[in-house]
Amino acid sequence: MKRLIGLFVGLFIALLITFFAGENPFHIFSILIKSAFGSMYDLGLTLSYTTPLIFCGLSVAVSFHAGLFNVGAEGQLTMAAITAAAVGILFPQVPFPFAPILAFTAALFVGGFWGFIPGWLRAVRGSHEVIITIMLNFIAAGTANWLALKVIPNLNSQNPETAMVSNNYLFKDYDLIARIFPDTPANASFGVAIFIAVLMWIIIWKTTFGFELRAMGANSEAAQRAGISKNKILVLSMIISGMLAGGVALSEVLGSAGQYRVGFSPDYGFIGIAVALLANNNPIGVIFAAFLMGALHKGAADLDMETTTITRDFSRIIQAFIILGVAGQAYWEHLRTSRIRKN
Amino acid sequence: MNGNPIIEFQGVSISFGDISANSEVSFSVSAGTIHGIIGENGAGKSTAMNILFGLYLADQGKVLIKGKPVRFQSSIDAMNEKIGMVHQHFMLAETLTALDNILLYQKGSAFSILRRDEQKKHLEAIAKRFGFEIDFDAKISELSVGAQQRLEILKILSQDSEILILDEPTAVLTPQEVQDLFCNLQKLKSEGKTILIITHKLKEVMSLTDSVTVFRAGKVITTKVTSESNLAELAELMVGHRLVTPQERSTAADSSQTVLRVSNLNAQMNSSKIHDINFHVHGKEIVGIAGVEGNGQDILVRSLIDKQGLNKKNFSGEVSVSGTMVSFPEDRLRFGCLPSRPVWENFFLGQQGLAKFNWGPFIRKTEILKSTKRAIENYDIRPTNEFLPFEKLSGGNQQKLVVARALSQNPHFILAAQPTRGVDIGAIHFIHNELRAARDHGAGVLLISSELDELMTLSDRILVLYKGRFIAEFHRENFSEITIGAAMGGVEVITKNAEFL
Amino acid sequence: MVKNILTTLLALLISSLFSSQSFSGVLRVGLVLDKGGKDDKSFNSAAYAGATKAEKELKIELKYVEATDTNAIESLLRNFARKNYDLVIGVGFAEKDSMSKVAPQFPNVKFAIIDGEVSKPNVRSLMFAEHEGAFIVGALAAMATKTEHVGFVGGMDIPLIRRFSMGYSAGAKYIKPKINVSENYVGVTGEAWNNPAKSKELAITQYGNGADVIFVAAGASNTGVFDAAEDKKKLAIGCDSNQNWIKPGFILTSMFKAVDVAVFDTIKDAQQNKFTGGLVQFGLKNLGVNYTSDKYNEKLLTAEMRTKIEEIKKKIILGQIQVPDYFKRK
Repeated sequence: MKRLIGLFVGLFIALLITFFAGENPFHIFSILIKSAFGSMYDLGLTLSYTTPLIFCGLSVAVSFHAGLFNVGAEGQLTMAAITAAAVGILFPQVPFPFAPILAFTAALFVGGFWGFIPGWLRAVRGSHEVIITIMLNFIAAGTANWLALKVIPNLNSQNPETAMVSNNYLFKDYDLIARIFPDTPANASFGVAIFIAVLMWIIIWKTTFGFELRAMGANSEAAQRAGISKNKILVLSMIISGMLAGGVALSEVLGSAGQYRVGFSPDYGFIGIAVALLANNNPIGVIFAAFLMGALHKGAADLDMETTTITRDFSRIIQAFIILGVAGQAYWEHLRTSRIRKN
Repeated sequence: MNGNPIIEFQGVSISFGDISANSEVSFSVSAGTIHGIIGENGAGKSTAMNILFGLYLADQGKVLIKGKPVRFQSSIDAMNEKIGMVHQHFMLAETLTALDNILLYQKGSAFSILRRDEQKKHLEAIAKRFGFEIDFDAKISELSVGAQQRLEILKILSQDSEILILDEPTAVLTPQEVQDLFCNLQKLKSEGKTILIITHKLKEVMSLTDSVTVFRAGKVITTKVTSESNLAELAELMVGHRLVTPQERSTAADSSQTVLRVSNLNAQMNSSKIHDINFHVHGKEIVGIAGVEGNGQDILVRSLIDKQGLNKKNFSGEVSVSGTMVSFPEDRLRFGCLPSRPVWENFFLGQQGLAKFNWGPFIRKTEILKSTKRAIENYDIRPTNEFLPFEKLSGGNQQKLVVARALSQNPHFILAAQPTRGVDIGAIHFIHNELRAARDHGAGVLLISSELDELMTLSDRILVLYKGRFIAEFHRENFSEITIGAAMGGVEVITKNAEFL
Repeated sequence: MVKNILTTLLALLISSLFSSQSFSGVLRVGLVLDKGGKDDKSFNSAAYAGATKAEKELKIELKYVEATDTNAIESLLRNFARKNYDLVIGVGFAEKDSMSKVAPQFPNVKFAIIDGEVSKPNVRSLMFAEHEGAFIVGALAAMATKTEHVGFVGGMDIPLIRRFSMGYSAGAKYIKPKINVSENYVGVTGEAWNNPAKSKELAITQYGNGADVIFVAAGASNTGVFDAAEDKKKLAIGCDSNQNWIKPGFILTSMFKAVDVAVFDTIKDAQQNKFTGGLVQFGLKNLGVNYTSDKYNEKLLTAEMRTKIEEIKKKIILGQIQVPDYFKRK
């Protein structure tokens, strides 16, 4: 809840800047609100941004709990998404209920593997996960591009994207959420994301494994003294983190597009960091934080259309200020607690 | 009280949030004396000194220096009033030379050009006058702890300070170095300086100070002339009740059982090494390891607890523990707890594998809470709130929890590394008694401590670790502060019954 | 004082809530630019220039947006349509799929797309014969080179850009059959349109390998090649817009695509109720593609080159020269 203060401070500064740019800040604010929740169509789009942000926020939050900083959610989701598309294209004959499950499982597996690499390197070689995950982001982008453009390209389009997955892999016909929000990419994976968030909450707070993971994050040396295997936690938490980011494959490939499009993600993996911060790494909080950031992302896109001075780049500035507000609040709190600790 | 008060506290109060750290603190210090500030951890003595040094601003009350009220906004104001402070943790730049570290401290050094040779000559003169001679061209990392401390004091003296505040200055020194320090402090006193020394070691207070102010729970209990008081009285004033020392042990070591056996142990980690370590611990026995910090204690602890974590290349020898083992970490905040997590989770830490606290993959929180509450009650941990973040507890209560956690598992072997570091007298007493009780129930204890007093009260045998080797062994009947202290300083003592030699 | 501020703010708030769109009967045009953005000095800039010209001269209401990511395009197009804009123009092939999805849902809204073909009754597809223009500048490059080596730097490696490349090398070989043509692409994703650092690197490599004229078709990445030309004192050829002014003396010419004209004409047709769906082709014949000549490059293009190139243009228009088209390759 405390993070909301940072959010509002950031929003306030951002609106103040629009005022100096010659816009009426209340007007800007009302556009943001209307654009996010104004109609079923707008809400659907907001939800379609929310879903991948829940997955990425969870991914970052879990790694934070273990004392790791997963900056690689972007790479993990990219690998997972291209995997889901590849399975859907290469095995078109798999019958319906199994097909999406197979593709999703494969996506989670590859996402998890992409998280496993930095976790394993950290455990065995002591390489810092931030550096490794950043590098893996580039490798993932390159690999996915190569697969999408050279191995399974969409020959009917000049867009950089894969061919469509077989129809057996799409669950649109059974998708209630997609029916509520027609013409938008919102789909049932929103429900899946919420379910997984609740599941992660249980795992983190109610299980022994979750306790070990948090202990490692709170004080790795003490956790090791208490008989918790550092390497096991490092590797497992990064695998889980990667799998969570891989969940994006469900919402983006299997749920809506039906194909992998190069550049489909507006840096979900990085916005996920802000989501996790905003939620204070609480999995349930991640749902709401993702919704907020999703609404903001959607609203910012519309500012470009609705106003004369606020362009695409300006709306990024607004987003940046809000993230800065949240991060600043977190940092301030950190400073305050560490000062109390000193006393 | 003779002479003019150079420092006067008049009803000074300060609080952090809900916690009142100092309330209505009033006392005065005469010029040209050594004044002890004693109290348990969290009694508010450091807070009061930090106010004096300008690190905190008092909420209420007045501080007078030479009868003139002052209100320091920062330590720079305090330095201008010729007050200097040596912190418990030295504020030195490791990679620079001693001279550079002093020059860094000079007023306006950021913008002015200082003549190094002149400054050096000037400083050497000061050093000579007060007997704080050090090698000004040596790098800090090459200086001994005692020399570093002399440097810290010299930093203050170079500013012509008249009032020196020393925060727990003896915690890191060998007995010999302590003697040297006290000698020098007496010399400073004779030069007319006023010295405030924060400590919880009453013996030092008795031997060094002229007068002493006792803090308890944020308040000043009394100020006494040292020569008119005695150890027992001061201890009682500090703790607030009489301390009961238990009778000497009634049981003998159970030599039929060996709970720990270490043979031919060689290990290395970073810069610390141990060589040819051989010893054992019997049941119902407390074996103490004495030694100045940095002589291989850390690697010894690592070898016993977590030898898998060490590089195989750097480890050879045999360590065998029979039965269950628990350990008190030498640095509880670093190795023993999750500072930001609640008390109950910290109690659970290390016991997370026990069947009684688990139900499949889930934790049984109600069970854990029940056990935590019991431990809080039995060990008198305050405040009695199992949901409070661990770091909000005072040092003594933190350590009590760590001890409670370890001993509630009824272990066969207890590795107690610095079990009472930074803990107040009441808690020290309590923890010592718990260790004795565990011993009497059959456990073997390996006690690693930098407090010679503690080792001598508890141990049946004391081994002295110096530069990674055991250089002496003492049995209880031969315990003597002088010989053990000498051994800690590297003087080899040939003892008749040194079984390991 | 505080009271005054509060009341002002309140008034602003209320007015903002009730502020309404103008319904003045003015033609409302929405322009969805590609990722490169309106300042790419190239393709998107040209479209934007055409639209702003229409805004001034035809008194229409213009609103433009720039896509932030690939997924945003569809919602941007849909948003314009939902707000009952009269004409929605999509710039770039990347908008083709989205437009073919959105256009049928809004039969009353007119759509236009540049560089893509969408066969829907309310969509006008504006296609350019890039290969013809590229052939012309290829011939010019071959005439200007002293090392018998010319280069091509494409943006994203896609058929559209291959079409440029194929025409260009055919034009160069038409003049000097033994000429050496290097060919590189900035990337394979949308980022390639916006990566001048990479295109500069490619250009420097090509210049280093002996090329002395480089034709670049890479949107906002073009400027990187121009920088390289200036650094290495070599020549470059611009693309889409007339880019001669960016580095005078180092840009031989630009292969001009009349995107601005196409956009302007489409808006004009819509205003005069002459808008029709279907495919509109722009080639050498109707000056939809051309090379540019102005005060910035008059010293670089000799009279001899000009006469020769006009001859070639005529031959292409008359069909005497067959320019190979990547889209129609076997």
